[in-house]
Amino acid sequence: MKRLLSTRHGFFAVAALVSWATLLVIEPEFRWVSLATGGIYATLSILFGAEHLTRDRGPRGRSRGAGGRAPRTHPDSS
Amino acid sequence: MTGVVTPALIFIVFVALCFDFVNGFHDAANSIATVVSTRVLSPRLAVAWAAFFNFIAFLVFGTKVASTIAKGVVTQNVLSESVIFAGLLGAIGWDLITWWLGLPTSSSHALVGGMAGAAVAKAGWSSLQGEGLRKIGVFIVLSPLIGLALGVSFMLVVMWAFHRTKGVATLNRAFRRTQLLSAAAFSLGHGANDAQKTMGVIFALLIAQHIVPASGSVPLWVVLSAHTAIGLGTLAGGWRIVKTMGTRITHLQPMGGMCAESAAAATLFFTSVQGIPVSTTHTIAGAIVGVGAVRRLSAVRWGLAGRVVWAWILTIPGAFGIAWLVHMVLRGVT
Repeated sequence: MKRLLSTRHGFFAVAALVSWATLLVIEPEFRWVSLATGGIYATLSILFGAEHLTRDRGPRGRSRGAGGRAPRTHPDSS
Repeated sequence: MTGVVTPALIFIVFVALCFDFVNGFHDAANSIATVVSTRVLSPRLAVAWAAFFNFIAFLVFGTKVASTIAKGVVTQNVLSESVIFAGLLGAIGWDLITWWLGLPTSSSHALVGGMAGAAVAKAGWSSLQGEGLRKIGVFIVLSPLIGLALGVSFMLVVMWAFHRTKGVATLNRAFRRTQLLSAAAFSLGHGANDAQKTMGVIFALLIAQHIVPASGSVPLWVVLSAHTAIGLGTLAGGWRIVKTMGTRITHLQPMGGMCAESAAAATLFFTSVQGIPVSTTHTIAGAIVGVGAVRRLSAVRWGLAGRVVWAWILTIPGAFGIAWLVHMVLRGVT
């Protein structure tokens, strides 16, 4: 479980399941909230899972910025 | 209405407003820590900024959260001065114990647990409102999850929108300014949701004393006094806590801070409009975790997250137990 949660796709998949689990007890007027929140997590899980797979199977070192290009940084990556 | 204003009633209203004051004092750090840590505003100015938006929240949002607290936790016929006083003491006692233990708990959940514990001590389990408690219980879990989901989504959208921007310093400068807006929005949400919890307690007390009919709305003086108390609490002591909070989250840059505050504000706006009392602390914590998770999961302090989960589990039973005990003592004394 700890290993699953340590990856972003695993973490978001668990978050999607927890969100959808609240469907069992939530009032009908708020069911869409659980569905939408779980949907966002499921989408994020798929996207990060795909990124994880392509990074692992891609040309060696390319995604790590070793192919002659510095890895892209953004303002929040300090 | 035939109710009479007694000294006991005035005292309990005063205790409720003190609870609100401490809430503002303590939670101010959540809304302005990033503004202070990124030096957009000085601590004193930031606190004044947050207090102002805490106060004007009553002009923007209704009083549905107050109604949920007053009418959705325990049945109307059980409400009395002793139940509300024991409930408040249960919440305050639990807050003090967890503050001493360093557990990040929610005053809102403690208030709900306290009210429920005192009501059960007076009239048994049938005095609890299942529907209202279910709604509150579900959103204890959902509100940080919504904050987290929105935090990740906002962060990804902003990163995508500015991914071609080369000047990181320019971008950070621009986001420092937008943080003023996001901090204002979060303070507005905090004022709306948290001040309404105190309004709900006072409203319940007025209903119990037959001063206000159960079908009526929250009196304006209750609305104004609750917002004044939370605003003054923010103004009085928030800046001391902000200094600590600001240094604890310096890893958040202006862009991340803006996304986290906007995500938490959106969650608080939604829940306030829907009349759902949620924890502002847990909502902003969820949003910050979301922003951190975009970077890498190891950036998230899982030890702290685990303690938050324990606080979720223990708060309602803890406050429930203290309020139950206080009510039993009060019953024995009177």
